[in-house]
Amino acid sequence: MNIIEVKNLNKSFGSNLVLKDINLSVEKGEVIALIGSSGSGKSTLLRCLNLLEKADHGSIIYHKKNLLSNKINIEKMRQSMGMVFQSFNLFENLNVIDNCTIACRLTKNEKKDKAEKRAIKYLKQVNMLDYAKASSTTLSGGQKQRVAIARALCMNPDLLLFDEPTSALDPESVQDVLDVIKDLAEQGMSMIIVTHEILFAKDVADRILFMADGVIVEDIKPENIFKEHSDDRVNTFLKRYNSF
Amino acid sequence: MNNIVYLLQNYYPLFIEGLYVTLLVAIIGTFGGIILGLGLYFLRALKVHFTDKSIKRLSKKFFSFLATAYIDIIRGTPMIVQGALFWYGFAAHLNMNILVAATIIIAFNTAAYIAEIIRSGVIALGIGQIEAGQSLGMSRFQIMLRIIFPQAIKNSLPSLLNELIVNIKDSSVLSIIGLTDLFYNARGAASESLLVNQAYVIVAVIYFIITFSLSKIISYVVEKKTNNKYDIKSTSV
Ligand SMILES: Nc1ncnc2c1ncn2[C@@H]1O[C@H](COP(=O)(O)OP(=O)(O)OP(=O)(O)O)[C@@H](O)[C@H]1O
Ligand SMILES: [Mg+2]
Repeated sequence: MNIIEVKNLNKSFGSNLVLKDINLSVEKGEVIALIGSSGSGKSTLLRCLNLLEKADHGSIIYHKKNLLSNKINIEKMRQSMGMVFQSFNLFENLNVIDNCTIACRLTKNEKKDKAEKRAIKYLKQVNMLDYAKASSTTLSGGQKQRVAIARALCMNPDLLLFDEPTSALDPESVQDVLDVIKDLAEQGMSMIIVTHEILFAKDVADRILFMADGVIVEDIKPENIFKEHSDDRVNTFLKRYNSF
Repeated sequence: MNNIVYLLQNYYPLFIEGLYVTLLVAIIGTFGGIILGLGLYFLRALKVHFTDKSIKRLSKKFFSFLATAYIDIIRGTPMIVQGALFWYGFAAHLNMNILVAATIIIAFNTAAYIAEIIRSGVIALGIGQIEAGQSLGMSRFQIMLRIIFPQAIKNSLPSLLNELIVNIKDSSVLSIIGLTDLFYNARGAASESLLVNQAYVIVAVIYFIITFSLSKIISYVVEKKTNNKYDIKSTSV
């Protein structure tokens, strides 16, 4: 069963056509890694999925509804589709646990103790429970990102989108965050992860999609990632990682 | 000098009462203006989303236009004119208490400036936290009220409190509609005692002492609270 299905999605910024007829379906429990060079449209694609950007045409079927029709309840839809940003974007006026509970309490009218119970569970899972009462501004980047993941999990999402979750982190914290995402993959969370961590993608993803100039040009089985690909842009891109 | 002492000895209740009125309308007016200003900014910043139905679309555009127009008109006309229009054209006919009327005039005037202060505060915060809130399914109102405004207010505290200082001084223009503020009472003391220059010197000194010490207190408090070196002096008195 598909958790999300994208058909012929197009998006341009002015005259700059950024997404060209994107087709993509993600099965329930599937982990997709989205790779590609800078400016290829990876972030734009993710942002179109949860309607932070408006695609020009095409369709996005999620929970049996086309998100691009104007009949959907956007807030309700987003409650079940989490997003983790490169720059964490924690709520800086709130402490760690309030970051995790505020959305549930406001959007689902959940009682404080019920929301906190779930927050504690997920903070434990991302190894940040000790910091529950800490101000979100005092954390390191890796800690912030793990809290951001817990915050997204607290909504019990059916699909999680990650936009370069480790690109703004110092090397030591990268692994902590990747470990958390790997845990989620093992628990069967459906995820689309934009990343430059090729080895992580190979290890965790079910499929690796390569994007170039607004097109998904290759759909790669992880075990084949370092083999020769028909599109030369993929080979050039991966050569940089092979040289390590 | 003797004349100043004479004035103070004989008219001090007038100065004190006037100062009380000035502080009352300025403080309540500024506080009300902050509430109104937040609402005004919220309306001004309404944006149409493609999932909005046509009624929502239309009302968002309408209220955003209205708020923008209001801000421009208030900032583009002197408070003395706004006050005269409100008082003679409206409030006086209802026998509104002059203190209430003056507070309303100040609140509705300062709201336009505060909406702009909040706007730069929100812009300075960046879009990240707003998008995070959106991605969690929070409404724009919830995001603003619970996440953005608390931070924008805290970061703009020096400018917001500066509005209080401005209002302490500028409420004096409302003496023309009969607000018995510090300036109005000083004028009374001047004409009764015939010591015109001395009365206005006294009132100038009182305004200065109040606003100057207030700005000192504010910058001390702000510095302590936010732990930064923001110098409010440069934006006040
Ligand atoms: N808000 C915007 N307005 C105008 N152009 C934009 C906007 N966002 C992205 N673009 C353009 O769309 C193209 C794709 O950008 P996008 O951010 O999706 O790339 P990306 O694959 O995520 O790159 P990176 O790896 O650097 O994050 C780029 O040419 C970019 O300049
Ligand atoms: Mg990107």
